[in-house]
Amino acid sequence: MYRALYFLTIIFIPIIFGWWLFFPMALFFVYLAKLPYEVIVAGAILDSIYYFGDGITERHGLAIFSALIIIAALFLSDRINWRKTI
Amino acid sequence: MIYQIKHTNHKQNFFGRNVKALAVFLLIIIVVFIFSASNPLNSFVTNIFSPLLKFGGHFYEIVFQVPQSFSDKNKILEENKTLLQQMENMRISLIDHEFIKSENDRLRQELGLRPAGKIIGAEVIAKYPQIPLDSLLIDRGATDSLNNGDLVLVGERVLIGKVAKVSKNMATVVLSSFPDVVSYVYVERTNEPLEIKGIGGGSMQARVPIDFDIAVGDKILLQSSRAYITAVVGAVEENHQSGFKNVLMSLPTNIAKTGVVFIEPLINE
Repeated sequence: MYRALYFLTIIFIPIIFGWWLFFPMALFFVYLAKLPYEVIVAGAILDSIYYFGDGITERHGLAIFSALIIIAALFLSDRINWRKTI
Repeated sequence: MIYQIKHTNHKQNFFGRNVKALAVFLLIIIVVFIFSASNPLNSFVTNIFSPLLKFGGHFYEIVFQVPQSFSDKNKILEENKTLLQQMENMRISLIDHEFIKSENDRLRQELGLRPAGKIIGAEVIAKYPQIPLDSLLIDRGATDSLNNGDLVLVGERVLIGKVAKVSKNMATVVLSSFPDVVSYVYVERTNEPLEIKGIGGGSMQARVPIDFDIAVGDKILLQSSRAYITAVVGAVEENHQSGFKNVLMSLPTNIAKTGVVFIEPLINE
């Protein structure tokens, strides 16, 4: 339930207050929840709204950033004691 | 008593341990890929979030107006006086403008020239800091026959950028100052051609030979169906060692105060 709410928040807050808020919120999501794949979907949705350029990395910048932090979290998942707050 | 030690295979490799997690990850990537490739789906999502973008725009309007509520009374009176004077000047300019416009239309008709293209008005629904710098979101889209590359104006002759991404009811405008956006223009005073490149933050630059005739305040025009002012030269830095000079330009208008823009469809002749 909290994960779903945070998923919606991570989309709504950057749209209303500023696109750059996605970065701290995505990192915070990884800290709060174990392997939050939802963040990639949120990144893809925001990528469809914003324009950063015509290259692959510019068109899918936020989704790629989200995928990278999820991969990092996946590698670290058994090395650190995950909090699983939400 | 002898106990037999049973060896259990705890040491699996990384992929063996995280098969489920990797499967979910790949599934999400596939879903995201399908979503990105589908234009109607993109348009649908963008339309859903357009009220939130408008709400954000209103929020920042209110936030930016807060400091004005605490200004001095005498300062407001002085500002009011200046604004009244400016309004009167604008009224006179408008009469001149209307006269010149009707004369221009008449001359175009007499010379048999193509009339000026149909202009579409659009409201800006989001700008920086809601969305990345040097881009705007407007409330017109494919349903209003907007296409990528259409020119975006703020007045009749002031060009600020081009349409870069069109969804059903919304479009993204990329300003001429967007990083790495190249425009082929000319200097109004000398008619010398110039290639300018956006460097972000409402600025553009050009590298020209040191003997190139350009000065601070020169207007830079883009030739389309009409000539549009694209930039104004703000600084010229000469480098005698390299034999070049760096021309720094800014957009002709303040984007932060722009609420309405006009789109001139690109005509393929």
